[in-house]
Amino acid sequence: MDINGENALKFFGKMTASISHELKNVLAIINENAGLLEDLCAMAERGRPVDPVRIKTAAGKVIKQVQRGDEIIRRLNSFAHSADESVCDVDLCEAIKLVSGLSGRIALMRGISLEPDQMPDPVIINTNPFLLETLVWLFFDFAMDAAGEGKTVSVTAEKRHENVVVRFSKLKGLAGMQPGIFPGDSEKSLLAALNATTAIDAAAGEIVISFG
Amino acid sequence: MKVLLVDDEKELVSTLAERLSLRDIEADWVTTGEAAIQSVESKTYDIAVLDVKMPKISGIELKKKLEEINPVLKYIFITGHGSEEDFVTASSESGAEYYLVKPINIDELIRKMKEILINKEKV
Repeated sequence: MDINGENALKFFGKMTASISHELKNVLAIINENAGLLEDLCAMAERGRPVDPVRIKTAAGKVIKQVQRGDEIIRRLNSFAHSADESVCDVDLCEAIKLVSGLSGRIALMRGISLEPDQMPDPVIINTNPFLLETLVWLFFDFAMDAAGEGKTVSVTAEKRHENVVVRFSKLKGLAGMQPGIFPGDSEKSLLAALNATTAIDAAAGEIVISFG
Repeated sequence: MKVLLVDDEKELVSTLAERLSLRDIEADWVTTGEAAIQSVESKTYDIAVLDVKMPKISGIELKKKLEEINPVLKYIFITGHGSEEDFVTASSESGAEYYLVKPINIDELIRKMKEILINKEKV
């Protein structure tokens, strides 16, 4: 397997492991609230008064977690289907939102807030969708390390002249990092495969990927 | 029995605490390692139930900090890991004797809590 294949597989493993953890939490909350409803029913059966608000609150928490689980699975489904085609038109904004959503729990564990911009207009490129998502993840991963005391990574996609770019910003720790450590071999190989380049502006706290 | 529940999933620990209180077990809950440290500093608990993976500080690291504050506090770890086997391997260095995989079976949790208290009394 080449380096891009290895990175894509690692990305897949990392994301699915994180998703499985998050789904476990969703199930755990549903389990506790279903259990609480059982407890309250048992109390009522024994003739003890049960406040309907407690029942309503528990049911509301179940509904909320079902919605959360549905969103996680929707993302997982989009992620899985991104391996369907080797090359196709991809909306960079959607790819960023997807990877950001998939990485949400990993970012949370690292105390980082991922903030994709609104990006109302699609930014389309013709590329390999799964390798693109892998590249975006590797840049997110580094950007989280470079977030510094701001603890925030902002990201946006936009058209610029002939190219389209993905910009990671608010990286307050970037200036203090050792020059030359990024991009590494994994990122360089993916950038080459996707016909992209990168530029780092440490003083501005920005990293830009240009496609074109 | 006084229990502290620590998990970053608020709706999990708050509901679990409510269910334990219905079973006459005094359970407080917090969602961060910092809050857990403050709780253990200000109140004496018998058992802390810690999530393994939390933001900023893991349950395993938190256990080490709490041990310094209350050396007799006992621990049960809870985890979202796929299987108990995975968790046993992953947490071998923590010295965790008691663990549960999410979703939690409350009867199993209480059984382990009682087992801990019996062992504690024997010591």
